[in-house]
Amino acid sequence: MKVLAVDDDRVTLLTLKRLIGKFGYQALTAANGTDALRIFLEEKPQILITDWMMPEMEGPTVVKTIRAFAETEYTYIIMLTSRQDKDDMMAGMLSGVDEFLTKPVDPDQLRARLRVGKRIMMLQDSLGSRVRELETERMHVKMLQGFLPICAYCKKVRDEAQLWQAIEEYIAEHQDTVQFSHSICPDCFETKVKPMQEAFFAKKLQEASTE
Amino acid sequence: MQQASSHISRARLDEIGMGDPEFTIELIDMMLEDGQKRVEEMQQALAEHRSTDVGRIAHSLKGACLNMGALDLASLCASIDESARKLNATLDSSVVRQVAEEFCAVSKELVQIKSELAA
Repeated sequence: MKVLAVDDDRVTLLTLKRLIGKFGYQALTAANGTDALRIFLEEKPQILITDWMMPEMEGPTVVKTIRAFAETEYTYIIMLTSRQDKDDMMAGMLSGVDEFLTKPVDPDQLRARLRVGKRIMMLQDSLGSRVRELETERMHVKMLQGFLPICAYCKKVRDEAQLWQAIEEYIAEHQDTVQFSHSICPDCFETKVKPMQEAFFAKKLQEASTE
Repeated sequence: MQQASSHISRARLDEIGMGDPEFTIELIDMMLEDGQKRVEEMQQALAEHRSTDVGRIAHSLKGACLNMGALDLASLCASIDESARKLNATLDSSVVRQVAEEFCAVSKELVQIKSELAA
């Protein structure tokens, strides 16, 4: 799992890189917000750890930008801060931060937060897979929606192009998984087929008797 | 290794060094290089009355100091950082001077620790 750490202080960044690698993650680093956004787009890390105060682009701006252009794929974001003021925490949360980590970085706390992030991202992946499966299934099962005009006599239906067609053709076009084979239901057998059969045999008997 | 120290918390440095002398030395070298640069930048910004820049540099140096266990230096930087956030901040040049002096002491101690680790 890729983890991108962002901090303008090289000492902190080197420490983070080492710890992230030690805890079994692939560490990526950026020394400012602009580089962070570039690396984020290229590498698509699942977890981001960013400092709050940085020159040019502050942490909350980095977070807001990432949240804005990564609407579908979630990233777990940890904000590094020496700020513990309630208003600052709220501002961080509103920008899209999931978790805070106080400076100086405590290795045990970092490890614990990375585990939480990993767990959330694995759950996210699992949910994403399920949503994709459901979407695929939904695409396969095209629902017949709305009112469908059907002829009271011949049972043809009028499609979206206002053309009348046999109902089996219509359903075959709108439902990929269905194919029709011809058959006769018991009711129709009694009312339609049986009289025809009887008439046929009666005719044959009559022909035989005249011969 | 657990030498008493007045400028560096060895417990913190050892924790962040993760028992790896080479890595600890790498951190020390980076701190010496970046710290010196930051102190000079801070003095320059103060001389040019750029209080926002002084605060920004102090904030960044504070992070590195906390990371390395230079707690007194971190406190001085925090003081400057806090003052610089105030509207129409007028910074106390004596605090910046104290930062430079404390950084000298921190540097000496880090060099000493480095030589111990390298031995």
